[in-house]
Amino acid sequence: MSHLVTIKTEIKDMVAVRAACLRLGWAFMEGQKTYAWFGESMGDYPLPDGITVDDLGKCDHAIRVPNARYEIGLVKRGQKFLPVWDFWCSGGLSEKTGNQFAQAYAVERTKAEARKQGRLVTETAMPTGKIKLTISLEGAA
Amino acid sequence: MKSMEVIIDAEGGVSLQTKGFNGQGCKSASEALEKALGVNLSDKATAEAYSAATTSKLVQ
Repeated sequence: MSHLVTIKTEIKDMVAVRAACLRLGWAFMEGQKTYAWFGESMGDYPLPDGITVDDLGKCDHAIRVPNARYEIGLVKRGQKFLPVWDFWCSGGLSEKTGNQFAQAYAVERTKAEARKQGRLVTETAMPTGKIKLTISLEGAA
Repeated sequence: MKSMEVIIDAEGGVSLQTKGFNGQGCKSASEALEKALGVNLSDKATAEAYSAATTSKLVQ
């Protein structure tokens, strides 16, 4: 039997976070407890689930993006980390910054898990912006 | 050839498809990766699976 699974990525693994930052050319600031942002919530966009106005600007780790004044905060909630960032234009981050990080994280987490199982992985960039990883499972039951 | 194809979209969403399996082996082949990545939103058997099941019924 073969099957198709869809998965919502959750950021849990710090090794993959570091690898994702390296992949993107961003700097992982381990243990940095605040992230740079506008500094005041204007209430013009809904906050991510699990984040309140009082949480803004506080984090467990941070990520610096080259040429951006603002930073991404990784906020721990249970076993996972939520990426939080301010995409007001003068800060240099966009609405898609967090998505870009989530994609890089999923790629690196997948490759690490495949390597752990001794599998060969081939990466292909697709024209749509998607990334395809093909993992050989020869020898699997 | 047994393989797993993982497609990661621009938002970080993942679709994972096992290929070339007969029987339940595909589930255990992808289980560890599914857990490592996050929350499983859906899980469907593919046409290949139905094809294998039909063939198996005819043989019986």
